[in-house]
Amino acid sequence: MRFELEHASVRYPRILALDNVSLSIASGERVALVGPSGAGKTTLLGLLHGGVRPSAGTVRVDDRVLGEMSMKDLRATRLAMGFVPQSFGLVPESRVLQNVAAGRVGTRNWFGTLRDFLAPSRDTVREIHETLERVGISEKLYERVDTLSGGQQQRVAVARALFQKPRSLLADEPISSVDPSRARATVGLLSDLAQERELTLLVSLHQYELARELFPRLIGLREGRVHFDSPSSKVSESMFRDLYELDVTSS
Amino acid sequence: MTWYRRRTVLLFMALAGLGAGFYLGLDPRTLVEPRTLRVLADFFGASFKPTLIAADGHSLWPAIWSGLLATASFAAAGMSLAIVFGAGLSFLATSGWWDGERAGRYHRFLGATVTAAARALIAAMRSVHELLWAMLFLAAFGLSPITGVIALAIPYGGTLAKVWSEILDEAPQDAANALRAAGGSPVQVWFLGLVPRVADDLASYGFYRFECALRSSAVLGFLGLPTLGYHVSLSFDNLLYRETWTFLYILFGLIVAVELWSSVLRKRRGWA
Repeated sequence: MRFELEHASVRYPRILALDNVSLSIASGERVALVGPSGAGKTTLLGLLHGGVRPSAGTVRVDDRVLGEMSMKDLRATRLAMGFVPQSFGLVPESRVLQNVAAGRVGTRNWFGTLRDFLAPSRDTVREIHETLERVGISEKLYERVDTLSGGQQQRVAVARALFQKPRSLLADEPISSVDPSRARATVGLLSDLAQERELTLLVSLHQYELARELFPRLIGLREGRVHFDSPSSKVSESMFRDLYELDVTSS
Repeated sequence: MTWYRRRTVLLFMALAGLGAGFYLGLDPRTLVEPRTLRVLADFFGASFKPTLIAADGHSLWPAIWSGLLATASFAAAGMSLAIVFGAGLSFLATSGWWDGERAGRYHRFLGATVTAAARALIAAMRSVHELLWAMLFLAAFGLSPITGVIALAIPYGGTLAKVWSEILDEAPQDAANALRAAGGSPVQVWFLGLVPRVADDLASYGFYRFECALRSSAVLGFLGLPTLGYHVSLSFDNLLYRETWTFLYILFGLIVAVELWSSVLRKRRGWA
């Protein structure tokens, strides 16, 4: 799945969240978005998965402008993108099974939706079980989500995104709520999944080491602008530190 | 400033109360007129001697059972229909069900129009009391059971829709957004992302409305439907106060029984 931003800006009532950003991400690329809080990482991800509209400029996914699609095409395109929001977006009162099944709402009619929710078919359950196995929590299939730890909930959110059979995976700060040892495992999992399923991967995070190690390309954002966009081998630790320190001095 | 405002408000409230009393011609002496006192004494005196034997010597039990069954049935049937109305309208009245879809201007206009229309319809359903609806349908359908069921379902459906849509508007939006991001339609987002987050609140309020529906159902008897209210008004009109009290105690017992049932449910589900 290819992504392209052309002079895209997003203006919220009080701030300019993204300021004239142009970039393109090729199919199968693995990109880390780095930058201090408030730099526009979440907004950028939102633009790409269609949750945020650009105030100016265009967003293209697979060479088609998101804003010009019909509702039906937009839904189909969003279905092809697995998105893991920072807050996970799970229904804590439902079981893991139902939460993962929800990944396919975009392909289901009313009856299918109801069936997945109340009495999913054996094939669906098997497929969900396999997906959970891949993220390492298959034994939690029938547990209520609110009984799981933060790290486990995150894996449920990843499983839901995978269950969409996506062609890209977008994750917003997936490791902000887990301890450092878990952080590596989570980002490693996303990276492995992207490689084995040839997904375009976009992850926002703050950790220089992890970003450099697991992603071939880094995009540094600061105050809504692209500060650097280069192969991770060419991003030095001082460039990375600048990204965060500049923010301090300017404010 | 605060003390000043508070004094003004209290003064205004007192004046409003007195003004209303004068306008209505309230006279406290009415309360102690000998005739009034005699009727009061007769009526409340009968509360100590409710009877199970009707004036004509027959047992009251058949009337009690049929009144109880009719009261519960009208409430249950009315609420079932009200839940259907309430669910459908609360979906349409939930603000922004069409939103987040990155809807174009046309769809957003359509969504806003539908929501406004749904809210107007809800207001119309609610603004007429079930007794008035019942009188209206009585004229149309006569003393058919459908009269009572629809008369209950319309205002109750409206109230359910209003309160449910407000509960849903307050629900956490993160799961709904995630479902939209996965390509979910508004109906799917509503059912899978919003409703489960507040299911207990929705059910709790629905049950409370069922309790209210039982009382309304009993009162519909005053219009001639065969609920407990019918027997209350019939015996009262015939000055058979002892029978009136029997039916009032039965109604009281029914309400208390449902109250107990709901408190057991509340405790088990952890409802507030």
